[in-house]
Amino acid sequence: MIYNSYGDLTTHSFLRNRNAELKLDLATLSKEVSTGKKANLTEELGGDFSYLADIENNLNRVESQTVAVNETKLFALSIQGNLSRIQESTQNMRDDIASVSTTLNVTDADKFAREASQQLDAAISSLNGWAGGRSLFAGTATGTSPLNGSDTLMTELVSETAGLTDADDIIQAVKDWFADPAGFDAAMYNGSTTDVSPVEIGDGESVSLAVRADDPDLKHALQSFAILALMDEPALGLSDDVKVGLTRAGMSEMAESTSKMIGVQADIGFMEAQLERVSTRNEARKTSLSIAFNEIVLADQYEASTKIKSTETQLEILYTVTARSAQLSLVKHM
Amino acid sequence: MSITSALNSAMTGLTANARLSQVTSENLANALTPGYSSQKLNLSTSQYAAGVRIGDVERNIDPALQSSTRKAEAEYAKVEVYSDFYSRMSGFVGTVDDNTSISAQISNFDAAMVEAISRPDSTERLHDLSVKANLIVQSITEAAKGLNKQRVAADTSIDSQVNQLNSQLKEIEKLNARIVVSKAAGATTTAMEDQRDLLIDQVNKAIPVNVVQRDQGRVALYSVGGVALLDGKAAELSFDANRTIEPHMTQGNGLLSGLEINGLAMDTSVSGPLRGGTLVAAFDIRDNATVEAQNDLDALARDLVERFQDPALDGTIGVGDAGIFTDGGNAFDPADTLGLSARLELNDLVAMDGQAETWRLRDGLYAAAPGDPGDASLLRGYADAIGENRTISTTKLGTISSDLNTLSASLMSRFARDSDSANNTLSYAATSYTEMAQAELALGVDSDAELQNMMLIENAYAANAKMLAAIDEMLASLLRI
Repeated sequence: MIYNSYGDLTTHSFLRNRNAELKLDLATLSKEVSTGKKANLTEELGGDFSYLADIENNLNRVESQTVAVNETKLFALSIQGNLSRIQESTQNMRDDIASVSTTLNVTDADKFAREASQQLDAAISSLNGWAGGRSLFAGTATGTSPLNGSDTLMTELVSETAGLTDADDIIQAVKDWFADPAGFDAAMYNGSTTDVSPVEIGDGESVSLAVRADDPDLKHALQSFAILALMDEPALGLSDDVKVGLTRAGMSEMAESTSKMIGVQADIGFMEAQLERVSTRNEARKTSLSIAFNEIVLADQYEASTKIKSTETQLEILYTVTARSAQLSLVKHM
Repeated sequence: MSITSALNSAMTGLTANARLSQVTSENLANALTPGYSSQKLNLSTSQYAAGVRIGDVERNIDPALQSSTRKAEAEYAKVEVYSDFYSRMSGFVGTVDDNTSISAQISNFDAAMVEAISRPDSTERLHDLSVKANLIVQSITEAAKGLNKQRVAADTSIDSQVNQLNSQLKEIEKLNARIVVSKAAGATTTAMEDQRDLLIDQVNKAIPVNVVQRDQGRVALYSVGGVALLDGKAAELSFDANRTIEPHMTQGNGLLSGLEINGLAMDTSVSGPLRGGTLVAAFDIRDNATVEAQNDLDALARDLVERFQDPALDGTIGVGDAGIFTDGGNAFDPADTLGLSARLELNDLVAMDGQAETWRLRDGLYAAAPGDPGDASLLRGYADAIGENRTISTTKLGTISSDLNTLSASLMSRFARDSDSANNTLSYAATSYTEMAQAELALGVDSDAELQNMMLIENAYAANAKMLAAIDEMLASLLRI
């Protein structure tokens, strides 16, 4: 005869283990529901984090690139503003001279000379412009205003052109001085001859706001103003004819400066457009990366809630079974 | 004559039932005692005199089940050691979606670089870059420190296991002797045998054993690989613990202690004669797992240092000059890769708690004076250095050709994967151990069965008593004649 017996501790041990398992499940699920994230990402990803880490890293970079784009936008905007001020004044002077060109006399010439001398000041201070604590046209020497004052410029030019009595000679002397590295660049330019480095604004995309005050196109505007402003220098003692001749020549110089300035502005405008495009793309990229990230990391709320419900039911059943089985003992019936 | 014989039978019946009730009450009393095996009294008919013969008390055990349970228990204990180790390591290195992981710090540094390139003139941006670089250093050295603690902990664990094993084996030796004496005196030895089984369970967790029954109730213990731990006399295990362990110290070069049994050096590898339990697992962690983890951390640290200690990148770095990341403040020599992760430091020139001359990040580490504030060319070079594909090769990581971010993600994945697979093995081992343990518990005290027996015993006792009364009356009738 075989007598079967079943140790008391077996049921107890089983119920206890099952209870612990269910409680652990419940804790994991509660965490998932309350944080909205999957509790065990390692298991979810099979221990391979490279994909998710790459998304995280890219998100991080996009954030920083957005900061860089916004800053670069500010600089581009400021550069554009300063350039357009110079361009407007060259254009205005060109038009002003053109409007009186048929009747141009020495009074007009003197007036234009004074105006040119003021615009020269304005242009130099535009090129010495700062934005966000950074000098805009000084190359990498962003802590320095790149140009000396107009006084220095005029003093240099007066000594260059002293004794010349022909308008064409004077203009040529001025042009030579501006083109000579030992001329304008040495006397006026304090900035760096290295362009600012390109800024990374998106993946594989960078812009370079490399416009320096010693750029020949920008110098040309100063040169045009300086030619007219020379007439205002009593030390040269220019004759009326020369002054009128200089003013006429100045008009065509102004026209050339205007088109050169527009060329530089167009370059910056192109970068502004690029910044705008990249900034939109970065936003889109951020959104799509976030969606990809969330798809992996976020728990399915519906699934987690349903599981919680079923775990809860199981736990309740287990409680009932535990209580019932504890009551089932021969002792009670003896 | 037959009346006396009947009287005798009734008497033995009374005694047997009293003894049965004693065993039953012993069982009920120990229903919740861990390691107690339910007992059974052996009864037989007396051959030479009338009545019942009371045999010895027998433990209700199943040796085959016991040995399977021990195997499962040792497996579980061993896997738990690995699982603990890898989950701690994974904690040190970090996981995804964790702002403090090594990988997150490297990614933050990379992002800070983008911002610094945008405004190289901003001191705050350069300071921020230095802070982020320091956080990388911290996260790596913290992981290296944690790893070293794990190694010391493994060594300490071996030491305490060896001490426990020695005292447990001695205890079993003593119990063997006492069981022999008690058996000879005819006393019950069940309690001592239960106690011995418990001790064997404990030894088995550290070193899985085969139990061999010897005469007079003694047992001998052999490790599954055949080393005698107890046969007549307990073996003496010896081990020297180290309080501090440096990365270069190994059992191979004799700077870490191996294990000796009775003065003989033992093979402590996972396939050695002591295999399968927590003792060899602790040796494996101390001698292999931590060493491999150290190699991987060092490989990451080396890659980080070498990316920036490059004269081609920063012209001011001369031969023998350290880069942004240094080996304890000095230039890194590839020959000293071992333990680099623990010695990693940020160059004092740019560290915020050092000279804090962060303009050096922009103008060259050893530049004589600050250069143009708008010059981001070196910073761009650094950014390129982070993104450059370099080849790393270690045993566990394999050969990876990747940028710094991907490398750190691989390192993180490696520990997470190890931790995950150790956890899976652990839950499998736990399930099989629980099953076995429950099967063993099923052989334990069943209070319902005991109470049913109790009722039978009561009846039988009453019947025997009635028998005595009847015989008494019969004798009285005889005497009245």
